[in-house]
Amino acid sequence: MSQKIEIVPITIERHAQVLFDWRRNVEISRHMYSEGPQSFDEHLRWLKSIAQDVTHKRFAVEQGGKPVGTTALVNVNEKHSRADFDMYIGEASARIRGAGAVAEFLTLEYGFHRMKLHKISCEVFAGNSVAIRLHERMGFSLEGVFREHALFEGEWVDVTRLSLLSEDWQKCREKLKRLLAAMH
Amino acid sequence: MREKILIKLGQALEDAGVKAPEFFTDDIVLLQSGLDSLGFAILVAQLENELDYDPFTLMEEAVYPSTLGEFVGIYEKYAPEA
Repeated sequence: MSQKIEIVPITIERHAQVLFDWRRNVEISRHMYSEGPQSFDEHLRWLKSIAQDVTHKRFAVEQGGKPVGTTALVNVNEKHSRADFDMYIGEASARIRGAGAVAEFLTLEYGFHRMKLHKISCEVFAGNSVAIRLHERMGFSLEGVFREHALFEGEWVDVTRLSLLSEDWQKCREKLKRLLAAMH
Repeated sequence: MREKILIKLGQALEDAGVKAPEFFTDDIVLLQSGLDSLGFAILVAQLENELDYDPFTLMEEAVYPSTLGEFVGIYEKYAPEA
């Protein structure tokens, strides 16, 4: 059975329910700015709105044809040729297989090659050192720390901002492509 | 088998800039080991090179190994017969 990882366009029929479940999962939302939708209807409205939103390009991450997570380029700014990267892997089994790294690689490829972006940024809660290290190994550089930038469970938390320029991506993408070749 | 997996895991942790534990025990929780997603991807790919099979591609139903012991167990279960 092929377990290849790919990013595919989101469809309501195929992905709405699983995305809703992940967005409501506190283990996932604890790493996010928002706490997830209050209802399925609210979630559907969000999905339909982003489908019309030219500043929001979201994909489902699938492994062997099964949805395991989602990835996106958001806040796309055409004038300045930049966007913010966003991702989570909802299925723990896929995390053990490295699906996050592959999905991040494929999304960065899409952003830099298909969308011709110059810069992609991301923000991570400062305590999430594993995610920060992953982004750095994918080529991102630290831009700085926003102090007490988000309120999480009643506590202010710092947020780390990283970014990746197109020219930096060209330098590291071949190595990453070789490392991840078997998986996508 | 177990020895090969532990050696590759130690290398993956080192590559990821994570200090490996002095002793690997079966109850280590993989997602709390400090290894990031790229580390897991490389670990599974390197184990496939070393062992000539990837148990995760042989499964009918994806199984989530939460601990090191379960991870090793999956490799042992799907090892080709000699």
